[in-house]
Amino acid sequence: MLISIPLYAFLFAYLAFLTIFVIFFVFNIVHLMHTGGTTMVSFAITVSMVAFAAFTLFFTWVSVRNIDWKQPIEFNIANNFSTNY
Amino acid sequence: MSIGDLIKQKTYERIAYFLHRNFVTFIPIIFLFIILLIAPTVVGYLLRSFFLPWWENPLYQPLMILFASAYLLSVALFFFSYFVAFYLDVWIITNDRLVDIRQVSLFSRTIAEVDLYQIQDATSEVKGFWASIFNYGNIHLQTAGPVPRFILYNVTNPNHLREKILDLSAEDKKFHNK
Repeated sequence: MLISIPLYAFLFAYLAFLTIFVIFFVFNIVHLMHTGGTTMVSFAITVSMVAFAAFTLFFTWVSVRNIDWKQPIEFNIANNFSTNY
Repeated sequence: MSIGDLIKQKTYERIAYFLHRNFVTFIPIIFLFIILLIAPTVVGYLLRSFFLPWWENPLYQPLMILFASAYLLSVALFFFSYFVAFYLDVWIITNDRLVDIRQVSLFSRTIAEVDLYQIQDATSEVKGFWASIFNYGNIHLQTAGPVPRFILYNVTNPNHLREKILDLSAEDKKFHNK
């Protein structure tokens, strides 16, 4: 069986992941601020993580910016539940 | 928010100790983080070796980039969340009470406190090779309060700290016996 999925469907899935990522990331920072955890150590770790996330997102964008997201991607799924005995 | 606001510090109260877990106990997580960051390079090499036609298909490349990006961001989020849970495990000892703040996970926090005069017994333990070298360990406090047992996990210099807690407790008992 041949299944065809447009490439942008995966982009939407990635964006959904990014939304969850941002929510959790911000929640962590809010936790640090509300619990008196704003010290040099927590600041250094937070800045490192923000920088790491920013670099990852930047390189992701550079790598995928010229891709035609409308082209379909096809998966050939073998029918393992054959009725031929 | 300051620490005083966090524990609703009373006017006569002074903070004697503000304790985190010893940072040495976080080092294994840093190593795990580095290993998880290196892992995609190894997996990429294996994929290239065993699934070359699939790897070279330009249609699959954006999927691999998105997957790699999601993986790296997930690792960063895991590390950051673990750090927050680690760093927000805090014990605040004032001249009046001990406040135990445990950040169990991102959405779970427990706060308990005991008046120092209710502390009945204190035990410190330094267990293991690294704990002995870097001088960190647990302190077990037996109390007469509603929370019968407090444990301060992996704090620096636990033997000295146990003595100081017992001194503060003795001072507080004198004040309450007046």
